[in-house]
Amino acid sequence: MKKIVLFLFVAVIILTGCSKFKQQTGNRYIITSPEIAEIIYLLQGARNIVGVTIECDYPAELKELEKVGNFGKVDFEKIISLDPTIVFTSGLEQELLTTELEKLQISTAQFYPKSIDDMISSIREIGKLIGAEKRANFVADSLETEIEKIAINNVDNSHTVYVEIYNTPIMSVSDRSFVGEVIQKAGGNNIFAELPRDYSRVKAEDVINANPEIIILTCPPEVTAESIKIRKGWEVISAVKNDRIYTALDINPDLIIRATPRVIEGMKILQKIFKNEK
Amino acid sequence: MKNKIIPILLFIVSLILIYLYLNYQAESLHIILQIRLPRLMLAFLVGFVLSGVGYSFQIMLNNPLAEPYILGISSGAAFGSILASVMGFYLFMPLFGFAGALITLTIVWFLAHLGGFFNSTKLLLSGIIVGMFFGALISLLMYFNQQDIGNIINVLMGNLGHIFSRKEWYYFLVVFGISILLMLYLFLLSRQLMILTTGDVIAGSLGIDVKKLRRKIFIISSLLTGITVAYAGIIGFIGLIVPHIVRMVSGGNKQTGIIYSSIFGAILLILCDLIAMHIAVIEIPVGIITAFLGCPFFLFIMAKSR
Repeated sequence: MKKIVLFLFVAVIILTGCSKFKQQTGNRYIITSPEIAEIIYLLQGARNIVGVTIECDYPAELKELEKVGNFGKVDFEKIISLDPTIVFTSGLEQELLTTELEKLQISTAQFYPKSIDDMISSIREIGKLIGAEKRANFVADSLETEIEKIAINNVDNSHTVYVEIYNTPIMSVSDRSFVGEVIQKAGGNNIFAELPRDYSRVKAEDVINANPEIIILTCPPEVTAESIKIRKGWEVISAVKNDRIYTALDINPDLIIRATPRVIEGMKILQKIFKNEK
Repeated sequence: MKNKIIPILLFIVSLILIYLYLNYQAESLHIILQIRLPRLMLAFLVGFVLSGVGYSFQIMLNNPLAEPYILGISSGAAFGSILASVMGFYLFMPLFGFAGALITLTIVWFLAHLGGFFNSTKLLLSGIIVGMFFGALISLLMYFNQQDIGNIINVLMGNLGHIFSRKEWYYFLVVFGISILLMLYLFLLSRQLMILTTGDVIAGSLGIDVKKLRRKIFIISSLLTGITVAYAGIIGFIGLIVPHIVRMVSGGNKQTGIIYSSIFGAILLILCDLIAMHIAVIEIPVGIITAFLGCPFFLFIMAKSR
């Protein structure tokens, strides 16, 4: 008798566990990359997005969604419990994340656009994946036209630019990086165009030697133009002398760092900066 | 004969190094005076202090594995610098670093005095444990502030390319002067320190207040170490290896050992930084070069001195 009762008890427990069967209705996307989140939102709004990372902060509506972690570290249990149809990931630290998700047999789609062309083709592919092909093609086509327009507008790349993406140690970008390409296409002449890596630390003396006309800081807003001006030995740089240091207050770094359609807005601001128009 | 050759050799080598350090691929006088010279002074100070302090710690703690970072001061200072940067106070990193060193120094000081007496084992243990605690705090900051990882690596691997602001530079000159004076005082203490190698009892019977001497050395050395970490981060190996090399070459502990150790440490660090700056297109953290160069060199000297 005791055995039967025990057996029934165990069976009931197991069955209650099973009863939580999965109710899958439509597509459920988790997005760990802020760039992809912006693109998907642009293509079909937030309706199928069930989870994002803390960095996915634009548009503001994404901030209301369930968080699965941050760019470098996600909560796998949370991801599994949200039962996604696709997890959209990025590159860098998320290379490993993508592999780990695949081990868990969760289907992933990795997009890490490293150039403007990459971004445009990514938009088309994402469109196909989420069934918004028409809109994606429309967005991609209009981006191409906009970028051509900007290119026609800039006559020569004569303005030398130093982009500082980090301040201790000072780091800059090459022309092969997304930011580098954006600067170049907007009419700037990046002093570190030929850096051996996309993003890399640089020497203060090389900045001084190159004597850039314009300095753009994509660091957090705490890094002020003043903090550049007071650097020992930097007073001879043209941008410092002529007060042409632009910070997060002049141009929102997300507009040129993130590979999203908002880059058009960023390029237009850059163009104004390069031509010294207010 | 040998006693005269070594100082002359060191002098010539250091002149060549300084010339190269200032001039190699420097495109203008402005760069030499505004960027290279400050960096040279920082490299000199850090090498000078770490090697001298390493020497005195090894004797004071009677432990061949002792080095300037062993009493946890470096972790405290590094924590201070990193905290300043994650809070966005980039300009105050050295100040926070030094404050971190002072706080650690005080904590270790009190821990070493718990129970009423002050001995080197207790000091060593307190230092290591406090250092580990601050190490954990650094890991925590690192984990939650991945956007600042570049800077954290800079502090943990050592970086002599500190960019001074113009005002900060004048403070640094004062700090530099004070540090050199403290080092000179440490040199003056080396006679007493040598007697300490005979053991606490004998040293005491010879009229040395052993506890007081330990305290003095502990405080001066920790302040100096704190200063180096505040400006240059943690540069390993120099403070451990250089004193041993000097000892092997000169044959045991000598009263002048600490002076040689400081000078040789400064030269070695300048050499390492020269390599770190130019060997690759991208600057390499100098702490990697010190280990890379220091280890084989150490083994070579060890093999030779047998």
